[in-house]
Amino acid sequence: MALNLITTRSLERLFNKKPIPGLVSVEGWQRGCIDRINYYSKMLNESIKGNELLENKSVEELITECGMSPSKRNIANYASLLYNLEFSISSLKDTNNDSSTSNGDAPLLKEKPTKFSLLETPDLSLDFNNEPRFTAHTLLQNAIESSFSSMVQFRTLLLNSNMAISGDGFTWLVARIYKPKIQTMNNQMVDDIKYDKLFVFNTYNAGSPFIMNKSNLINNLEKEYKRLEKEKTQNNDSNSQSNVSKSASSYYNEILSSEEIKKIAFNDTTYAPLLAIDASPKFWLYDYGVFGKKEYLNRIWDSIDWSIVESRLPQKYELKYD
Amino acid sequence: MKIQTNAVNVLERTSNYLNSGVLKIPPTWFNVIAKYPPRKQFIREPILNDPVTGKSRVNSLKFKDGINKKGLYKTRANLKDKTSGTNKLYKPVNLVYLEDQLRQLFYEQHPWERSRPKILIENTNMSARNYDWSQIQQLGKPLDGESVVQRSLYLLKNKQCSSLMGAYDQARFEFYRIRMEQEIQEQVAMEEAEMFGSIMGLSAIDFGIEKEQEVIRQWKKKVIKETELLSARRANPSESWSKEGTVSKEKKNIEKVNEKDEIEELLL
Repeated sequence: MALNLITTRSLERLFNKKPIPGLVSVEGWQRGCIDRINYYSKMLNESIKGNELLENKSVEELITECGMSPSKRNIANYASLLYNLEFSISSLKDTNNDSSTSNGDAPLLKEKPTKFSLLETPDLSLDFNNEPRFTAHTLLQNAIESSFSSMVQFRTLLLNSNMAISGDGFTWLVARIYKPKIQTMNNQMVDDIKYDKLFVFNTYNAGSPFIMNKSNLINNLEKEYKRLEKEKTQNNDSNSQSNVSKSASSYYNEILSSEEIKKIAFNDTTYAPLLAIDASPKFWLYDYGVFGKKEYLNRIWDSIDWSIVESRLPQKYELKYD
Repeated sequence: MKIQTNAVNVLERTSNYLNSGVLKIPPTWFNVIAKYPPRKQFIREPILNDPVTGKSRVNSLKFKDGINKKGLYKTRANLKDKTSGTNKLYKPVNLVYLEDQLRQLFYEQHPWERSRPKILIENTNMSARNYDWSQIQQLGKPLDGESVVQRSLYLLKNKQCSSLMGAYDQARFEFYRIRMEQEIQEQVAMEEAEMFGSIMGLSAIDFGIEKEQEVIRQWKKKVIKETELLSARRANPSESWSKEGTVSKEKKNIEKVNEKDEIEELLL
């Protein structure tokens, strides 16, 4: 039955996972993860009950298909909450590999941070316990360094973006997959899934990286691109009127090339999620207290499993000139 | 005129009056003046050595060997030389603060930190405000260059850093970390707000650019007009010789008046 499919699919994977020692306690895990997943999947299953078409779909399909329809938005919300949470947890591992702490009583925080931690001076050390290169994931390390110029910058951006979310949300590391319709020398269309750059961004509440709710900026970009294209074709049609005065509104044209606008605005660009970090207080409040988000994020960094992140990385797109 | 020294004996005189019974009640200022009596030494003493550096403040009068402009040798100090050699001795010594040097360095390296809004009395009376510089962030004080200065002095004083520049660097890097965090915080807050439908007003910079653009637009109109005029004149130089030239001159005068009006508008 499809009804069970969603429940088991998400829970099976997660219930097998133990609470992550060094990150959350057993109680915190129950409250921050299992209870939430139970609730989301229950609500999701109830909202798609009786609709055979939807029942047979995967969570990802539910997000992308229902997300565009206003009447099915609640379905997309639960599906995306479920997906995000599952995704964020799936890339975590134990912080300490010692077998002595395998019973779940890992050294958590002895004292929760107090209000004084708000004014704490930041730690200046640049040596982190957990980097992809330590576990020989050089592919990922190189990808991150080429997109964010260094590991330190990436870590700062990732954790600060998450820190800045005031309510629920997730911070994502995504790879931009852009299918350029370029024909190679051998007249083969480039069709493989390849990425050109990595990005970090936030989604808030039940937002999903799969539906880009187009804000005004993106809409404007799209319009601008279409206008540019139109102008180009017009110019080609009538070369006599080649000196068409540039409209004053071609503001985007000045800062971005039309190729870049296309990459940002259009649907043939997708973003493949590699890593998600949960910013929701539901996850960290029990173990870290009200002022403990920073400490939580530091520990999350230590427990990122880079091998899983790297396995999600698509092939790199490289322009080759033969 | 002789130096008037009588006024400074006001304390002695009043206490005599009190003793003798001329005055019954001591005046209200009596205790205050007794605690801080007026200065009775009127001789100005030269400060020969700088108390901070220990160097002599006397300019010894030295002459260059050789002939000066007039073709003569200078063998002794003239009146001007003598006064300039000693006139500094009676002036109070300049106060030198380490903080000032650090402040200058910081704002030289980070000129845009000056563009942040600031209250002028923010940094006055720093020591009275119970700030604890074992951390760079303070409750009730925004993070700015002064935080870096005070923090680096604290680090130096408490021997956490051996050199001044080391302390300054550490404080600076701490400052950067927090600034980065704040920047992303602002960005994310804006993103969240936009997502929930809020519409932002102009930023200070946008506002400035818009105002500037207005002026530039008018200037552009004027300049185009003027260049057209100029090119017209160039195309037909004999025009000014002809009879009709007088008419066109009048026209030009009218135009000039108009331009003046425009300029006045701009100034307003």
